[in-house]
Amino acid sequence: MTIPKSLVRASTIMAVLSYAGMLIGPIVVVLVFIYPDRTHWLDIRMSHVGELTGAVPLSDRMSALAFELIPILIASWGLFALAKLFRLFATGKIFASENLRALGRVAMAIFWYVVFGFLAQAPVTYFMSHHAAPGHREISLGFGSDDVEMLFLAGATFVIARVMAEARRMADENAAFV
Amino acid sequence: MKTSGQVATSSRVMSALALAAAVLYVAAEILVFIEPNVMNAIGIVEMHHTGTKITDAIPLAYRLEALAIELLPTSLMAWALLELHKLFGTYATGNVFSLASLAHLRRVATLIFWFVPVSFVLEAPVTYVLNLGRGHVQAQLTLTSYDFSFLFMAGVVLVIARVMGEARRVADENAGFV
Repeated sequence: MTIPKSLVRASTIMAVLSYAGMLIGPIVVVLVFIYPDRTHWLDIRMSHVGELTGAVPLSDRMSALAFELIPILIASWGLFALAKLFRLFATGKIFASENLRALGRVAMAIFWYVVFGFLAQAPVTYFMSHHAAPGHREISLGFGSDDVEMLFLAGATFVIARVMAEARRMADENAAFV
Repeated sequence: MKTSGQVATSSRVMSALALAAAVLYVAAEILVFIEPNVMNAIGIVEMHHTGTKITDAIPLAYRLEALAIELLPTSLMAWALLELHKLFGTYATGNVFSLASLAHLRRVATLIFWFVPVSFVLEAPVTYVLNLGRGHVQAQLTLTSYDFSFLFMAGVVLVIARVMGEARRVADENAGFV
């Protein structure tokens, strides 16, 4: 299907932004855990992590980072799928099976990002307070409105993907009938 | 186009969730200003662009004044959720490529987009009024990854809306040709 140049351009821009987000997200998180004081000016607020400073020993920060990276990499995978979807749009493929697979992956990535983000809190908060004196160590799990927003977004994306799959099925049936 | 029972059901569920989210979103924002200590104790609402945590220590008159300003971006987001509610409602009835569903999708993108600059700009008067209530004169403006993610989301929805608009145009052309 031929699509207007402006839409090709918009899709290409969104694909580039998705790739950028896919790379920048994990890099920033790694840098913030390795150099918490030097990256303080970035004012990065990671939900569920709390205040991250150089007072936490590097070994504990690295252990926490290993768990924190799980949801971050899932988010990167979602952005990779989103970039693929926009690249397909840019080439005029709108209802191809690859599009629907990519959109389905985006929805899955958002959903699992919230689930693993929630679960990762326990080990992350444990390692972040591991250096503290006994009685001051903690393991916490929190669930807030930001998580609900993300779950809602996952649901909306999932339904849009299913609606598009349905549209494709109908188009295929019509083509076969003609 | 007639959608399958499963797609219609999931669209209806998302439509109901979007409506509930719109109501809860506005209610939660109002409660954060009217009953801040209760909401802080519950701790599930994460506020953005309102500065330091709101507490009962700020006189109610100042909180209500800040709330009046904050309700502007809040109503934009609630409006976007209502558009999403209508969009899924049209999907549930099988109107995937109708002019109405495309208009709803476009409005969702536009409202999400405007939510970011409006809440960014209004952070200054909101924090100014709240800080006056705390006894000092200070206004703040912050731009976080939260804002960028909303702008990105607006871009994603806008491109998907345009792609679906294009698909409709091609389908109309083909129908005219047959």
